[in-house]
Amino acid sequence: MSLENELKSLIIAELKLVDIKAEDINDDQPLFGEGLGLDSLDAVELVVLLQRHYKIETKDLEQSKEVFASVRSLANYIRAQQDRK
Amino acid sequence: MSCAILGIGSVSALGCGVESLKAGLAGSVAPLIETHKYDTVFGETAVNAYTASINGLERFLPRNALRRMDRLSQMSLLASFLAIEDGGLVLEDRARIGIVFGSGYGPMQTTFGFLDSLIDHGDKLASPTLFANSVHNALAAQATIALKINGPCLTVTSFEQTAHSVLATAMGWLHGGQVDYVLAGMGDEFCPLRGYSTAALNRGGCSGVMRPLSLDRCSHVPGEGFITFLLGKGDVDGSYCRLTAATVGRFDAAADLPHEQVFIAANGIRETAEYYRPILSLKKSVVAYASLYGGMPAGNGFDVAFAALSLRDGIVYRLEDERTATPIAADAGIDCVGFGVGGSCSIITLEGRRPVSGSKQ
Repeated sequence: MSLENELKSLIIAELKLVDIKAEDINDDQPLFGEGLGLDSLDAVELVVLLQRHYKIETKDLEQSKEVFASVRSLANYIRAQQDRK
Repeated sequence: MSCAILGIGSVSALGCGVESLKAGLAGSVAPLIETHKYDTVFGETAVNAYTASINGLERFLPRNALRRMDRLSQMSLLASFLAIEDGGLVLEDRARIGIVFGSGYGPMQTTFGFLDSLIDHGDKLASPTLFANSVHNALAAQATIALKINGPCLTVTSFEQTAHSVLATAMGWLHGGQVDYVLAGMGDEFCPLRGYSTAALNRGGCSGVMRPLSLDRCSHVPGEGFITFLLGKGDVDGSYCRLTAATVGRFDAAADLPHEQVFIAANGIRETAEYYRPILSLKKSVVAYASLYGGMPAGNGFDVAFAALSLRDGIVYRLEDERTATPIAADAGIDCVGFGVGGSCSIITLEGRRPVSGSKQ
């Protein structure tokens, strides 16, 4: 399974999204606002998700906006962090 | 000091809505009971449990709005929507409506889920959503948000005295003039932890079939559900009946039960069974309905609902052996009695509506 698809399944499960499957989420679809419709509490859950599943911390708020923009940006960030380790 | 029961919303193993309670009393619907298996130190043990139906909440709220609500919150919210609908209340001045909910155990699944996440991942990585819902007042808070009600909001936890605490609080708010209406609800949820506890404590000693009036044997079957009452002031046309008293304290069987009809909250637990025995020896009509809703600390809230239905419809059903229906006068009263493990007793009294010509507000 690609990292993008793995992330989609995790997001659906951990954020308890309803009536949506992994294949319904486009890699470049915005996660917040008009896109998937996530909100600020979901953002906190996403930070926890990254730490729990990938041991990656996100502390820079400005950077976080870019990282959490879409599934693709999230996957790219995880790959970049894993390469640095 | 009485107030009127204007509407009832029920979520239980009998289904949703007040009609499901009527159907349960009449025997046309049986409660949904599921069997769960737990691996305990005594070996694999099967536990029966009443399972509530929460289908229908999507009628009031989009499914996406429910995704962060746990099962107990969803049950309480559905019961509240149904109580408002049943009472025909149009929510206008939302600052004049209060919400008081009660639960014996609170949102157990969420509370222990949060503790598990704390143990498994540490305090930095515990789930923020589980944390937010693990506090007991999440129930009433979720309801105030969903119903856009901004009157007083409170959740109480008082184990077997929960129903009493909720109704006494609601009566106080109404008679103190703080609100015009109160959504007063109570209930508990079943979850694997309760199932495991039941399995470990029973050690196979319970029959798995609830027989609340058989006080000599353990017949406790855990249950779940939520019952919400829409309460208003005084004696109102179209209401079910009047809620005239909610008291708690030590019990004197002869002095404390003024009415001929008594509903007891016996639920198959041996530790409380002995407290109910003196009531059975009184020359009164005594019924118990826990076999319809299952064992839970806040369960006697369902007895209050059954009493309200009995007074409105003029019929009291007896469930043991053969189901029978006995008429009850429109102006009669019913005492709903519940004992805690320590022997403290709550009595919630309902009386039929007064004739309009003699009504006193």
